[in-house]
Amino acid sequence: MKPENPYAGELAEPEGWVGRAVERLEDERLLTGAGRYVDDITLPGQLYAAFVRSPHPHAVFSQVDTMAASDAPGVHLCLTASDFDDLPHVKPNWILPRSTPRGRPILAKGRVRYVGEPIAVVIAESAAAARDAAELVEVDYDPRPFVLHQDEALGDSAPRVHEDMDNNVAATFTPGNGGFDEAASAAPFRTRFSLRNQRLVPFSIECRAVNADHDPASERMTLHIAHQLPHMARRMVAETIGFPENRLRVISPDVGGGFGPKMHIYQEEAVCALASMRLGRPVKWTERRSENVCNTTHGRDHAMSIDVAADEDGTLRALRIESRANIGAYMSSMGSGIPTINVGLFVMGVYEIPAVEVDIKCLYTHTPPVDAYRGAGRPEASYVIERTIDRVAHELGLDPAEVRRRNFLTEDQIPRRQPTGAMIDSGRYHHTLDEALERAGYERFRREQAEARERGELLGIGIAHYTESCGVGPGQVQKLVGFDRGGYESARVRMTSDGRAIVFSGSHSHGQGHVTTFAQIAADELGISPDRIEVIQGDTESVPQGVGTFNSRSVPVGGSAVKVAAGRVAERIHKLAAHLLQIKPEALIREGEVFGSDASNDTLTFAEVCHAAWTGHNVPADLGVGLEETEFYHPTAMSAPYGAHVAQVRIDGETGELELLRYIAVDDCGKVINPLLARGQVHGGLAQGIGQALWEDGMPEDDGSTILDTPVPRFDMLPRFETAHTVTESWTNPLGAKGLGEAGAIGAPPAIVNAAIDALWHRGVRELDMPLTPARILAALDAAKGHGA
Amino acid sequence: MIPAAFDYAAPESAGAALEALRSHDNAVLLAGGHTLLTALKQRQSRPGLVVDLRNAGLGRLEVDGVGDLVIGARVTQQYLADFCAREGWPVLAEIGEKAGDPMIRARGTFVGALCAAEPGGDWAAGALALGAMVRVLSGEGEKTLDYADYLERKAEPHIVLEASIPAKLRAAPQGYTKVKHAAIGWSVASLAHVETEDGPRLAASGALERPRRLEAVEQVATASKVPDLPAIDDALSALTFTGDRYAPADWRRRRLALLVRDHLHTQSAKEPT
Repeated sequence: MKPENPYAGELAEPEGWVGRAVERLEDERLLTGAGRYVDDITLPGQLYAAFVRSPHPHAVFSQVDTMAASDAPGVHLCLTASDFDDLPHVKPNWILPRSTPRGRPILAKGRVRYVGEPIAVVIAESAAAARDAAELVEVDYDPRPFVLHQDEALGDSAPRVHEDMDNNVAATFTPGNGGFDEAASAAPFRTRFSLRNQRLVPFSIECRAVNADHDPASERMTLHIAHQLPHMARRMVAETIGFPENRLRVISPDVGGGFGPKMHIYQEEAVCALASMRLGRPVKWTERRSENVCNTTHGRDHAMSIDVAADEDGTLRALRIESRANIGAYMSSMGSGIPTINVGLFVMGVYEIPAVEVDIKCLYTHTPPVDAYRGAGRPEASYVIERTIDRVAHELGLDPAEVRRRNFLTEDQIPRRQPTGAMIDSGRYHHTLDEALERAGYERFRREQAEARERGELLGIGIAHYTESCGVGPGQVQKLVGFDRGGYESARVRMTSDGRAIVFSGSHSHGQGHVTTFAQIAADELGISPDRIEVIQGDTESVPQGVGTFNSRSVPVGGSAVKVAAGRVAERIHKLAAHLLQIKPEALIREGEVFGSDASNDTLTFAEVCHAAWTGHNVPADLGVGLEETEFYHPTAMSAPYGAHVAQVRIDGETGELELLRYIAVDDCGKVINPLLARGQVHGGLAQGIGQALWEDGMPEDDGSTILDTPVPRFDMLPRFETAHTVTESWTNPLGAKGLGEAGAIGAPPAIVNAAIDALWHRGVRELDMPLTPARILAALDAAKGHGA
Repeated sequence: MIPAAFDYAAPESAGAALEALRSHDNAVLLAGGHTLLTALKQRQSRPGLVVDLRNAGLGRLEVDGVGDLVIGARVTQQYLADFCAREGWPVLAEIGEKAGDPMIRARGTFVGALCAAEPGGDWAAGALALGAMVRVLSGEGEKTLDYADYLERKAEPHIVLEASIPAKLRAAPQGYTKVKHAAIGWSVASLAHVETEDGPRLAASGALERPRRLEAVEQVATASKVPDLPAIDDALSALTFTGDRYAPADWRRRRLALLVRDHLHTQSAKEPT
């Protein structure tokens, strides 16, 4: 009998602060409305921006008439593309080799390529005045044929999104070790099917926002941006508008959710900065939710076909995957890397497959650009392989859990680089699956399922055993794949004279709880409690050059930087204390806050040592004044978290309605810094993953307009999650940690769809595409009935 | 929220509010605002004048001398729901638990919901099943209309001063079942049912262009307490169904038919044998 403790699993009783379920130190301020977000910041002389956006998915235009808008009350400036001699473009930050990048013009020039693309901006005294005046801007649109879906974008007759290209193919990627045809022809079983990983619209509670403040006197600019990567934002804005990076300061204050889209630069940030430069006054823009839907990047949107061969016992022999990714009208920041590298490398999941071929094409379409969204490629990869395993199992009449076991990479095969290129640092897959199945009562459920079928009821159980990769990894690998971004993270740890500490981190929390977890990590190194540690993030002028928060990298990379820097500070404290006590460092004894030795009764408090360091009165030259260390931690490899998720569903055969009965998530993120926050990460990811599986659909309407009422998962739509951990530490970083932030979003879609198909397979349903709306399930049942199943 | 500019008035009587409404050819009424504010926010509604009823009284909520429940135009949904739960108006109390969410119920008004008659509106279905009446003030003076007739006829500038629920159905067997839209919480198929001496009164919302009585289904249900699905489906065939990507029209129709069947079966099972 397993304990009910939600932190259960293999979490050891912690010796120090790491591993403890410390409540979030930042929450009181945030929960009492005292958070400070970009829109809360109003500067002296504040002006406001409103954008004029395309109502057409594809149109050409020759004139943008801003005369009436310019004359409207309170308006200071109207800008269109014609106001720029050399129109800046927001360039992608990850350009896959041999791809054809087309960045976004900061204001459309002569042609619009998706609904919502900015054409003009109005800067006025108030947000209301700007919005009213923006409605007065007239554009002589001439609508043109458009293409929304990737399947249609490939055709010879498809409208071209970029007229200077021969086709709509933005990038191709073909990982794998080949040999599919030979291996497949030798295998006794082979099946083909296709699936979709639908487009999603990421919704943060706080929309994007920017407040650009250029000071003409100093020729310096400060940008307040709701962003995940403050230093990257500084670089990308500087590159886009040609502004000296050393005079540009980015401050990201409290950020209300990111999920990927807040790690890019868009047109609005560049336009507000340029407008502020022209006006010498701060210019603020806060995204409306309807703008969030049309101009902030979307996620997913893959159409995939699978060809798989296996032995009769389910042992996989060959896998071929063809994926067509819709990347929207322009190549967004990471738009060519997410659907290729982040999908193609990981399509083998946790399995050994002798022959694998993957063919991925990224297509431009007349839709909003697609980029990273929680999981960013790994959900798509996990979905395709986990759906494939179940498909093989069902067609062969085998237990999906057993088919997984027969194909798992074993511990003696790990570390391993998969033929597709994925690096797997750690994994005890049998162990984690067994843990999840036991918690789920798998065998009992199968018996109940059989009994339920006798009564005509439809129960299903679905497994997803995902793996992914976190941390972004070593820089040389990023260079190889065209990702113009560092793989390191920074931390500076500074003691203050009163024995407290400040941790400056290049990571940036947008809800994760770094203030708590980083304090716990530093606390163990320094030997003080977390409440004596202040964590500072989000200001490029106080934090050492960092990379930022994405790819579940904050703990394994950012946290490791904190650990290393704090460890070095602790070492200096130790040496200084010994020096001040005139003893050898190895003779120094620390008991709580007091340093001493067996050799004498002389003692010093921890705070006294810190004080002495900053006076520098009696500090030896080799230690130097102060107590401060900076670390740019660069991981040796990416870590590969994994987990086994199990969903149990009931489907009403008459209505098509699906009830998610239970959801069990056993994740292995290595060392868990804070079980409470880890659970929060899993819960949030699960909500989004379940949202994708059951409700969400961000594909534009048939006329190209953006969908405004895609469902968003809410608390009352979700079951009580049952979470646990297995702990297999990673050797890729000193914490032994692997990321966890995206696990739920990766595991939930395949687990739930597998469960739904498990419930309906005997009724003849073979495939269901997300979201599993009741109408879609009912249509599948009808179709199966129609085919005499 | 930045709506398009409009003039604003908050007259101190219903008469003055009507006068303001008639004085402008593009004026709208504001009570709780849960239909109007959304439209204003998206600039789908661009009124020249917003006439706010906040100072116009109309807060009456009581059982009148003949036992009818009288609900003024400014009575919020939550206030009504609490009253009905306390005083015993079962179907309205039940709708009060299922309509919108706490924030919507706290601001939205019952009469406003009847006037808006949104496709997925819960209160309107309940009012139709209960045979609600509405007292309307217009340029022609005051008159009382059956709510179903009001929905067919409303055109000229007017104010619904109050709605009333007939006393005779207060103790009748009744209930409300609802299937929610995952995105917006509105009903995608719901059924209000009041069992009268003459047979069931059924009203649906969510699946149709607006909430309405299901007279053809009532006839089927009168003929057979527990009609089968084909009979119900046939009775729905003359209606026009609406839908969206999450819940297409065809599915809503099937869902409503199942809802009717199951609801009537449940009600039948409750009746003493």
